[in-house]
Amino acid sequence: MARIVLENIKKVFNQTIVALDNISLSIEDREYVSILGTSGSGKTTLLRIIAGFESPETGKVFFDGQDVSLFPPEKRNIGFVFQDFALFPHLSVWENVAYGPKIKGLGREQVNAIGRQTLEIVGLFSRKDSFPHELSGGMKQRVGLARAMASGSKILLMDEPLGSLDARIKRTLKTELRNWVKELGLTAIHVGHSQLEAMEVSDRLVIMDKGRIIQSGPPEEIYKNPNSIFVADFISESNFLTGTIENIKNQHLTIGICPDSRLQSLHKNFKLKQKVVVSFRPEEVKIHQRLPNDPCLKGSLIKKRFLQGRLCFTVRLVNQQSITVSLAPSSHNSVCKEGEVLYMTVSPSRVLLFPYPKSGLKQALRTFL
Amino acid sequence: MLLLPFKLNILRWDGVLVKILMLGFLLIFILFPSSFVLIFLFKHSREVVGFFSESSRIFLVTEALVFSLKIALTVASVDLVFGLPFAWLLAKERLPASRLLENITSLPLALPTSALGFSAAVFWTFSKIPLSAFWFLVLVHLSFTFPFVVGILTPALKRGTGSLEQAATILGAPKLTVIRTIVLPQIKLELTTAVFFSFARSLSETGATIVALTVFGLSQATAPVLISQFSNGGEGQISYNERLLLAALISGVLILISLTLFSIVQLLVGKRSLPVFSKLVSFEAGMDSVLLKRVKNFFLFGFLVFIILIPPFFILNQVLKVQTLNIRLLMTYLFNSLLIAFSTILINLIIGTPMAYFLAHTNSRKLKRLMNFLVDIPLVVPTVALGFSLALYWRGQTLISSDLPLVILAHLTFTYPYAVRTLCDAFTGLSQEFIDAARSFGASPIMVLRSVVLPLLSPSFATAAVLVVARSLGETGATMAVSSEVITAPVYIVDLVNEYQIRQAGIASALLITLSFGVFALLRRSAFARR
Repeated sequence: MARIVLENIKKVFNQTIVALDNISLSIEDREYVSILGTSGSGKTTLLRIIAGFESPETGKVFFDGQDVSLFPPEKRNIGFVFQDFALFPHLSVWENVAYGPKIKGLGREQVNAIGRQTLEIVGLFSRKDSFPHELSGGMKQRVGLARAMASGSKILLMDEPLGSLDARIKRTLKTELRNWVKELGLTAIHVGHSQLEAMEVSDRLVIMDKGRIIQSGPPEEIYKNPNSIFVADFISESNFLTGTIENIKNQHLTIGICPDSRLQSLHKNFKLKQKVVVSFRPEEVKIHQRLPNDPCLKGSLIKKRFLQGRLCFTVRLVNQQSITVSLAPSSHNSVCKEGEVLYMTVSPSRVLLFPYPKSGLKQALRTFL
Repeated sequence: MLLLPFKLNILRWDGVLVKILMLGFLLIFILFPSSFVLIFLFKHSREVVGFFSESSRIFLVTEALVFSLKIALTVASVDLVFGLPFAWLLAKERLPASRLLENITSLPLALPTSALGFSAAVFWTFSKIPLSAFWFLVLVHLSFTFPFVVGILTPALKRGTGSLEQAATILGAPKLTVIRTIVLPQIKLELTTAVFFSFARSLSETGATIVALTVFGLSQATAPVLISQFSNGGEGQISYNERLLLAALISGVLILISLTLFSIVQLLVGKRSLPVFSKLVSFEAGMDSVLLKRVKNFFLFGFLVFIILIPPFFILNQVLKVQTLNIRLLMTYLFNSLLIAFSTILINLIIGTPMAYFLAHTNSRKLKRLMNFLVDIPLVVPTVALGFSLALYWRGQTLISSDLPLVILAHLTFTYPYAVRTLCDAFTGLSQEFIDAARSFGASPIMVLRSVVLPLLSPSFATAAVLVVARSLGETGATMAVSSEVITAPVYIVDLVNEYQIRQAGIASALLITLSFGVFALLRRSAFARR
């Protein structure tokens, strides 16, 4: 069992900078949670508080119901993986992995068994006598993970564990990482920058901004139903347009964007004539070269690019607002030319609505730049 | 091919000609003179054996050598025991005024050792603590070795081992275990250098030892004191040649001991670290208590205040009696000191820079290690032995006839590693990216040199200058071993003490301490202002 509960954690740096503002979070046994957020959102500070490297001003940390808030890091029995690996340069791979079990006073046979098992899991037993400087980045992080696993802890904390690796190694390691965590039945907290990576490996995402948790939930739920403009923009590329509710009929809301451009959505709790922000993903847009029967957006194609196997259009509406459209290449899409007038529809279930922010849309989006 | 601007020079900084000049200088001016006394002894081995057939002479030499070695070993051990935790305190603990504390600890570095020795001797005499000659000299030597040890270890500990410490902590290691198993292996090079340096400084200290022994009324002689007594001939029961042989033998033994120990330590440093020793972990966990930490800090600060800080400044009130001193004479000697110090730094910066650049950028690990070892030799060879060896070497040549250039050469030799080490760190830290960035913005090579390279390196040049000047101004033994004619300010104090003009020596020491401290503070300030 390894359940982590955080209660009202507050952390202030230099008496003025609020790094964490009353954070409460519960992580279940064997759950793989990724904490995401922009730089300075407080995610690393939160991880360091769980590890015991930082103490909160107020609040408590519980492991399996036991209050560990006052425990130093060495008494918390956790595994920690660092972005820069933090392998002891004067120790061999074997000695690095065996460090934790030796410190805990385990006998030689046990140390040997644990060292061998963890190095075999990460596929580096044959390199046990190498020194860190003789290993590649990917190998170093495998050793870092083996060392954390060898500590025998059921809690694994990872501070951007894939951050220092190149894209190809990252792809392999992230899958292996999740498999190892699940095989060993660990409770894992993964702090990172990459939303795609987090969505792929995690059971749950926790999105942070300005020291607060903005949303928490399974990756798919957060992707489909972000609870704010911030989360919608942060989790994946989105289009944002301003509009006004023109009609409400059978839970179908019609939003006017500009002359000749309107969309439908299925949201509740909005009033007629209310100013709103309309959001949808570029890949949810369908292109038509003739005016369709459903409400649609009308604009002219101003830029056409080929990006990671997809066609990427930038389309400007009549009121000068621009949207991005991502399409699977087809003979129909490929013939579109720059300057051509296009009609675009989005399924009402994929159109998200947010109340128009008091500070304006530009200001709301600027915080993530 | 690091710096395009440097290619503007006729001599490219990474060119073959510069490398030959650099290595030639190292051999001819630094290494060969430092070890010439060994060749001299080999050539005169028959006379040496004949001379020492008389047992009283062997006894005189061995007694002085053993006495010096015992002092040096004790000083190095005490420096390690107190210096390491103190450096840890400065580097790792969040003390409210750690910067100020660091500066205060480095104060004795600026002082000429003979003046410092005088002040410390007066302090310990005044304290009425019954001290043997051995412990008295240990306490005096600690005043100037401790700041060096802390000065070497503090930046090493400040270096980023943070994530390694966290990694070890998270794996369950108590603080002391983390220090023993992770931090110390990372700084073992600096640790051995610091301890070795303390050993070599104590083993070679002449001015402070002569002054302190005379003031305290003791007759024991250390090996460097014997060298300085015999190196310039003088009168006595034994002939001039015999005195030279005696000085040469003691110098040779000191150099051999230092080089052998240094080589062994350097070889061992490259070896693997100690195992974790699981049984020690629970003991170390038990030591990690607040009470013990407070007791440790109490002793550390007590040691700093009473052993390191008060003794060197104990006689400062004597500076008020300056009118009774022959100021003109002191100023002449002070001028000699400054002339030597500034000539030394000027030459050192010119000849040390290519070596520093080379050490920072050579790709061969083995060559780098060998060159580092060679450059560090003057650091660990006792300066008085080095001065004697150097004088012996250069007096055999016809190139240099007067004594002042010889003294400058001696100072150049033992300060060379300071300049090279500091500049090497600067070159290592100078990222090629800065130069590339400036060039990508269209800066011409001269602009890159003026606007990027020099501003980035100038603080390091200033730091090197401060270190070299401080070390040169304070040196007594090497100057005395090279020449009896060139009198510097610290040598003047030794002369006054030898003539039993204790009061005058006290005033001169106080004045010199004040002046040195002023110059040091000014240089440090300008170094930091540039930063």
